[in-house]
Amino acid sequence: MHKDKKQYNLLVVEDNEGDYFLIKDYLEEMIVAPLLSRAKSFYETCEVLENKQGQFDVILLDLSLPDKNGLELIVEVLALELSIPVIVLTGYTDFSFAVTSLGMGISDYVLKDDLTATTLYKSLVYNIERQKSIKNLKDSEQRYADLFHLSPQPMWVIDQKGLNFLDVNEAAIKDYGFSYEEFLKMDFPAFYSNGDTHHSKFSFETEGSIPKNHYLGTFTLAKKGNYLIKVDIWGNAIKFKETNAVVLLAHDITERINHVNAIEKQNKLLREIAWTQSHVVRAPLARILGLISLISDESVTIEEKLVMVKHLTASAHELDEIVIAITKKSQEIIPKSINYGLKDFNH
Amino acid sequence: MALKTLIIDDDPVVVLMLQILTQQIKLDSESQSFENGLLALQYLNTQYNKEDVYFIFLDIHMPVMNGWEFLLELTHFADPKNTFVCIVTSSTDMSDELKATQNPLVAEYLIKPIYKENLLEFIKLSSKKYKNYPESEDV
Repeated sequence: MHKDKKQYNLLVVEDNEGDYFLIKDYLEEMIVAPLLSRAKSFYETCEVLENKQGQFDVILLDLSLPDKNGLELIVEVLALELSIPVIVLTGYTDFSFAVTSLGMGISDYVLKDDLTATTLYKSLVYNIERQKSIKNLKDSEQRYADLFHLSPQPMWVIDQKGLNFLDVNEAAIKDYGFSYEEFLKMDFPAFYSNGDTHHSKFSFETEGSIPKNHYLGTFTLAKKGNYLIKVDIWGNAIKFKETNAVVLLAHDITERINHVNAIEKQNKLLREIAWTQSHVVRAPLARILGLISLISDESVTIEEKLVMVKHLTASAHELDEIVIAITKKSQEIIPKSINYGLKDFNH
Repeated sequence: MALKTLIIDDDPVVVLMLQILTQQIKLDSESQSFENGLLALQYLNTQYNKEDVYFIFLDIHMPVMNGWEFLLELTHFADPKNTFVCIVTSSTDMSDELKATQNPLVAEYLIKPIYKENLLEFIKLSSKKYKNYPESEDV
C-alpha cells in the first residue's frame, strides 16, 4: 500500500498515553513522515500554538483533558480563531452533542471506538482540503465586500420586496451625511421622498426578475442638511444573506443638468438673436436698399430724392441702434463665471 | 371694371416707395394706403366690388391688425378671381412664406427691398390669372 508522502504538521491534544500512541500508529500507517506535536492539557495546547503559530495543518482534539473538557473545551479552542480544522476525537457517543459541536465550527467528530487508520486519515485529508476551499470562499466574499465598501461610488443594498436598506457603503455614508444606522432605519422610498415629495411610488416588478444593470430612473435625493442632488440610479440583483436584494449605484448628474440648463438658456438667447436678425434688422436694411435703388433711378424727381436721403439717414441710425442692442444681448450669453473673473481683474 | 391698388404697411417709407414704384409701372395713378389691416378692412367692407380688380400690397407685422388677421377677414368676402394679394415683408422667416402660399388670395410673396422688376412680375402673373378665368374673358 502506498503511503501519503505529503508533509503533514499535526497537533495532537491527548492526555492519555495509550490513546496517543494509537493515534500516532494509525497516522504513521498512512503517512510517510507525519510531523507530530503533542499537548497534554488545554494550557499546554495554548503554549504550543503560541510557539508554533501558523505551522499546523490540523488539530486532533481529545475532549477530556485534565484542566478542561467537553463543550467548554470546544468553545475555548474555537475562541483561539485558528483557521485550521479541529477534529474532535472522543469516547462520548452522544450524537446530539456531536451535532452541536459541528454547528459551532468543529470540522469533524470522530468516535475513538470507531477509529481505524483509514477513517482517521480520511477525516484528516478531507477536512484539510475542505478548510482550504472554505478559506478561498471567504477570501472571495471578502473581495466582493471590499468592492462594495471601498468603492468611491455611493452604493446601497436594498431588499427587493420591502425596499429597506440592508447595507450601505462608506462612500454613501460620507457623501450623503447619514450614518450607517440612520440608513438602515430608512427604506429607499423614504430616502428619495426626502428630496422629491412628488415622486411616484417605486417598486420592482416581481421577485428575481431584475435585468442586469437595470435603470431605475432619475431621482432627486436629499443629503443630510437638505442639500438636493439629482442622480441616475442603476440596480443589480444580488443575494444578500439569503434574501433577494438589489445593489443600487447612484451617479450624481447635478452638474450635468446644470450644464444642460445653462446651454438651453444660451440657445434661447441665440434663438432670440436669430429672430431679431430675421425680423428687426432686416426692416431698416431693406428700406435702405429700396431707397438706394430709387435714388439711383433717373425718373425720380430731385425733390423726391431729397426726401429719400432723409429717410435713408433715419434708417441707418435705426439700424445702428439695433446692432448695439444685439451686441448687448450677445454678451448675456457669455457664462457668468467668466464675467466674475473680468470684474475681479478690473478692480 | 376698375383697377384698385391698396398698400397696407405701417412704415411710411415703404408706403412712399411702393407708391413711387406703382406710379412708375403705371399700374394705377391713385393708390390707397393704410397703416394697419383694420383700416384697409373697413375700406373694403364698404367699397369692395366684384367687378373691380384689386392689387393689395400687404405687410405682415403691423400694429392693431396684422397681415395674417387681415387676410383671414378678407377671405370671408373677397374672391381670388379679382383679388390679388402680394405679401411684402422684411422677415426672412421660411414659415411665414409657407403660411402665406396656403392662402388662395395670396398671389405673390416678396421679401423687402422691393424693386420695380418684382412688382412687374406680380402684376403680370395676376393679370394672366385674371384673364384665364372663363367668365372674365369678355371683360
